[in-house]
Amino acid sequence: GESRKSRGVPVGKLPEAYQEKVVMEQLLACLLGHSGEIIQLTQDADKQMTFTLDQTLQPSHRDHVQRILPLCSAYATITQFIRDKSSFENGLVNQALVEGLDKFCTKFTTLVCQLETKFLQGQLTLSHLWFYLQPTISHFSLLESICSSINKGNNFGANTLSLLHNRLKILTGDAQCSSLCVELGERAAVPYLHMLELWLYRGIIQDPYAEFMVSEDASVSKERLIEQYNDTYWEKRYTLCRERIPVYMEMYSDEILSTGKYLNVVRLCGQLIRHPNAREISYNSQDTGYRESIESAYSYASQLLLDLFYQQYHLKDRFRSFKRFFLLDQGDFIVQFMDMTNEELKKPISRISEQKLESLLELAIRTSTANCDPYKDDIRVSLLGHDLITQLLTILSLESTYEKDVKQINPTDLNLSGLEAFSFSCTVQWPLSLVFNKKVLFRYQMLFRHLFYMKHVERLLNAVWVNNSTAKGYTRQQLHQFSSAFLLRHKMLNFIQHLQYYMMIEVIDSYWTEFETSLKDVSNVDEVLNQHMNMLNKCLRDCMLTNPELLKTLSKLQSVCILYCNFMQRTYHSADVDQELSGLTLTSSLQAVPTITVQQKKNKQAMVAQHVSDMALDDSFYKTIANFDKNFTETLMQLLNAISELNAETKLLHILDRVNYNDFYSS
Amino acid sequence: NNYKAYLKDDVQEVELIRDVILVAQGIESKLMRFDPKTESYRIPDNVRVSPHKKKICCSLAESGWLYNKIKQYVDQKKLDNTFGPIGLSFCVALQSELRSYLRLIAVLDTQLTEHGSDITGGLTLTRLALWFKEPIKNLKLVASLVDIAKGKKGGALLSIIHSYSWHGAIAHTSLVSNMLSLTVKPLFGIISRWIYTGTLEDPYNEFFVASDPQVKDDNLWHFKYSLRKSMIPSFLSADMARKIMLTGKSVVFIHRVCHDNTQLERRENVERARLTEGSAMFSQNEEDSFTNMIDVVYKETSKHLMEVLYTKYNFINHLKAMRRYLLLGQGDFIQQLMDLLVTELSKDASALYLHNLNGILETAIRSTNAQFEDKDILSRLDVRLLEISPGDLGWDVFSLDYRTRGPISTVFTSDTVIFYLRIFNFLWRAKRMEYALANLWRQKQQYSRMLRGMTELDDLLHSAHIIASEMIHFTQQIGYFINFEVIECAWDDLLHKVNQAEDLDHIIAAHQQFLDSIMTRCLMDEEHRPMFSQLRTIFDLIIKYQQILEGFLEKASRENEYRVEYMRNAARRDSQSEWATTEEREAAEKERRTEFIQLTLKQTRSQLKVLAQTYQGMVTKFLVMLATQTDDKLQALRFRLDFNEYYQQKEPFLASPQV
Repeated sequence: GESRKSRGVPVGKLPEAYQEKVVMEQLLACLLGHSGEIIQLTQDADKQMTFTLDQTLQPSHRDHVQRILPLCSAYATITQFIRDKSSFENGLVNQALVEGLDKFCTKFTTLVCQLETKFLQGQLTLSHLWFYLQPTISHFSLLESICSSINKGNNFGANTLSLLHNRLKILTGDAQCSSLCVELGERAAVPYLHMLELWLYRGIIQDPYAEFMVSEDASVSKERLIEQYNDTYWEKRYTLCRERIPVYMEMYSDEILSTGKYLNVVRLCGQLIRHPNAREISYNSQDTGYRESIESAYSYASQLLLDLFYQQYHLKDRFRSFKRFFLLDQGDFIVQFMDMTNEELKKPISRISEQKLESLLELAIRTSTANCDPYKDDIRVSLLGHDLITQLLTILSLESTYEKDVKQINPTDLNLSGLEAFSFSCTVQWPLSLVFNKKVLFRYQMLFRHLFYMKHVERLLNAVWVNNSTAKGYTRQQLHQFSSAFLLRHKMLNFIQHLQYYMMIEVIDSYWTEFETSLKDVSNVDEVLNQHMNMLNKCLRDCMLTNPELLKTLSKLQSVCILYCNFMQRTYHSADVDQELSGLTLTSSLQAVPTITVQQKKNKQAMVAQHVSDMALDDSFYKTIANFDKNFTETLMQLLNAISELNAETKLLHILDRVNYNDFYSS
Repeated sequence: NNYKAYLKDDVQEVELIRDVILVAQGIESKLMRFDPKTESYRIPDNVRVSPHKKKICCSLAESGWLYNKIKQYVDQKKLDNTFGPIGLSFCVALQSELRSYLRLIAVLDTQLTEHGSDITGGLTLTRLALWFKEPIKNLKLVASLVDIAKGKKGGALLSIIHSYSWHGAIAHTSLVSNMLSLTVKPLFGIISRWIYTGTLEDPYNEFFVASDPQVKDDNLWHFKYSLRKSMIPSFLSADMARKIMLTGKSVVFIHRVCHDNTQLERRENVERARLTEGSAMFSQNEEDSFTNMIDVVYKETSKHLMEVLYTKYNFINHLKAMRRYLLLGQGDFIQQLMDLLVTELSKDASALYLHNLNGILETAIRSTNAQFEDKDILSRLDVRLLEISPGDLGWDVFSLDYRTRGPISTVFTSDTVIFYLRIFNFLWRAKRMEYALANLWRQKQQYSRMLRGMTELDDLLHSAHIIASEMIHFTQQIGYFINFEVIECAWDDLLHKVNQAEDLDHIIAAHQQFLDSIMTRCLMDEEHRPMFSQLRTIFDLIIKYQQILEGFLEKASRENEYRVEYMRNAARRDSQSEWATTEEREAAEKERRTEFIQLTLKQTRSQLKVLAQTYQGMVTKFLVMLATQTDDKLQALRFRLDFNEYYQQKEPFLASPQV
């Protein structure tokens, strides 16, 4: 260029008619982004293109050119943008947008070619040029601003789509510009919507540049589902990335996520998915039209998964099986099981062999009506190294603030007795492990342990009652001596049995029925999960398992009962005739009760009565019983008071009516 | 004039255009020279052309450079003899791209010669730039494909091209998939021929199934074919590749090994699923149809293969025969065989003769239900002697054998037959323990009545009885465990899997798993070696005990006979009014008796005592070893063996529930 400039004359020195031609020729080149002498192109750090004009130009021409120059810089900016953004790493959406822009540029080049022809024919003046370029100017300024905001915001994928969509909102008045914007939006959305279709109709993510709103975390595998306390797989395997959702999809994002998630479960179960009414989804500037496709896809997917769960994996039977084993629904089985494992479970857990329990469990299942349960083989025993309150705190801490407490408690306490540590466990295979995840299993186990221990206390009290029944042969005076002990036993039994009735019938059964009815009209698996969790949570709440204070009081009550039972049994056993009677104390159904003749029995009764009355005459017996009575009543009152202070939302208040039906404790 | 001077260039635009058209074909022109430094065509600085024209020319000239690059690649590869049909079709695809580019240039050239610098119809640089816009973009893309394709061939080449098909621009994707569908054609042809007829035509190693010509037909299934991982195109999943390999292999297997010439191609559903277009392999929308084609052919072929195996070659019957004879499933036959073999096998191993044993086997078959077995199966049953090491008895080396020939030997390979033989040996040994102890018990019953008079034997017999009971319990539990917990469970599993199997590989895997689970649970694998030798030691102790005790019982009964004889003689003489006994006789009798008591009885007593103690120690140790196992079944065995916690009292370690 140097040589030319030195030889040339400043443009201002040329005659006016020539000036226009010279400028025009350069301007045409400039329109296609080429720099010249009169009009020079510079690019600043922000990739902003500016053209500067030789100021010696005749003023009227200068003004004309000045008006056209923004167009030139816009074109230059856009072509630069096209060059930058078409490479692979910019993502499918940007690439598609670039293609749309490129189409528009080609159109513009054609226009310039036509103008050039006119120019070469000598028919073009600056005013003509200005006129012909009119419609393009507004388009170009729009495109330029889109390009520069994408550059500035480094927009990618859905962000680009949102940007185009938002831009459209501003342009509603301008029909031409908005139709251009719609066209770009459509083009840019094609790859994204294609990914959406794949996800909605087949549950597949094909997203090489991480643009799609759902991201898959391959490290979360379904095999770990049963090991982890949280429901990671369901929650974490597929997640929504908020920043990857185009604005016009935001309101459907949750449905979109669930749809593909459901389909994925179905696919992992080995079923082929052929969506009956898969339709192409295309960009729509009015936000409508998506709803129908997405909702139909969603309802199809949820129905498919629900059917899979119900029909192929018999979810309802599974629920019943869980109730049978974990919520003590099958009376004969649990009695059988407790009879068989009594001896083993009395030991501390460090000395219990799980294999033995396992085989006893199998025996108990097979010799009771639980044998007809189709899933009986999945039930396992498990000994948890912490008591119920610790478990409760663990759960609460994961959800709220109790964390410190848990850390202080020693995680495994080897001196715990089997009865306190025992629980069932269940191995559920994929995909039902989605429903029966660790979180759910924990809740079932808590309920089970609670009920199981309660049952154990009741059995102890019953055993005392059986022993006490020998009192029939006592003399009136002897009976009198024992009445206080009997009375206390009755109080305890009354309380425990009422509490059990309350938990089994009023809480668990009623919530369960509610839950089963609700299953009839759920429409997707998420609802099933929620209803199930809700039901469990309500059961936990109304069985006092969410309130550590109540639970502590209750366990104190239970331990008073157990101490009382032990004391009473010791009293009998020390009579040294316990050998024959021991068969009766625990009413083991497996051991044949030795037949004792009437005469022998009477003799024995007399001996025991004598011995016992000897002991009863002793002051310490009275004192101990009175002590037990005091402890029990006080703790019970404490419990009842605590319950009465609760708000009316829980069913716990029913306990008051039940235990204190005759106002015995309120006086 | 000033104006003219201002606009004046050294070169007319028409000339420039002419040169650009030349350069665009990769030919140097008068004005534009290739500058190797920047790898581009340039107009020399001393030629005065207005800068924007210069710029347009240079950018258009890039196409020439791209064209040359692609052309070079094509020319070079066409001469390359190792490049193969897939590479060749890639070249063809490239050439067709080049051809359409040249067509454009030809059109432009005509336009230039017809109109020259005519203002209305002629070319200007601006127009030329417009014409060249799309072609240059395409050329760039194709050139970048050529760049990354360097050094790749076959399936790897396809993967590389496929990786370029992820792009948002429709023009881009359609160009790439167009090239891909041209390139994939030979592969599709190879796959089709492979899965339909089993012919592997791949002289240039482009296909992902490799064949080893060295491997003979009898090892065809296991060793002949392998997957060439690098050649699996990225649009085929690993599972698909496996299925494709398996299908072709099955076809070859059916023809060459099973000698069955059914034309599976002709089957209706196979025909219906058959595709003609290779592009279905990677296009996402029709992905299902290619998957479907492979699936249908795979299923159909595998089904046919299994049918042939089941019907023509009686696979299931052979499997059952293995179970019956090598895994001692046929009780009466095994019992009979043992009865007949006892004396023979107690001999030294080197004194055994195969023909004798074969004769005994024949007798055993004829006298039991085994005689109703299929002739073919019986003819395969044979006796085999394992490797003899010095000091081995017949028991150590005797084994039944089952000869597998033809297609079924693909499942029962010589390696798996070795597994069967080892398992047989173990089962046979365990059976022998039961047999020996049962015999011992019978003899003891017989003798104990006879020896009732010899009260000095009471304590010995009593303790022997207890230890023998212990042994019987042990062997019975081991037997129960092997038969029911191990073999029966594994067998059930195997049958289930065989019924479910979709192809021969599944059957082979299930069978291997069956053997593995038996090997592990019978403690015969590497990991359980110490336990296995412990068990062997216990077995040896049992045999030793049995032999000593039987020997002693014999001696005792002889002693008893002497005594009875002595008494009878005395009684006889008495009745004949002679002296019933004399001092001499009495002394001899007494001496014999003391010798018996002092020597034989005392010795045996101490021997048995030592043996009993060793035995109990060994069993306890065995239980301790079992306790450290994680397998549920082995744990259960421990509970069975020590059901009443007898050994637990001796070894406190066993009392702790979890180790």
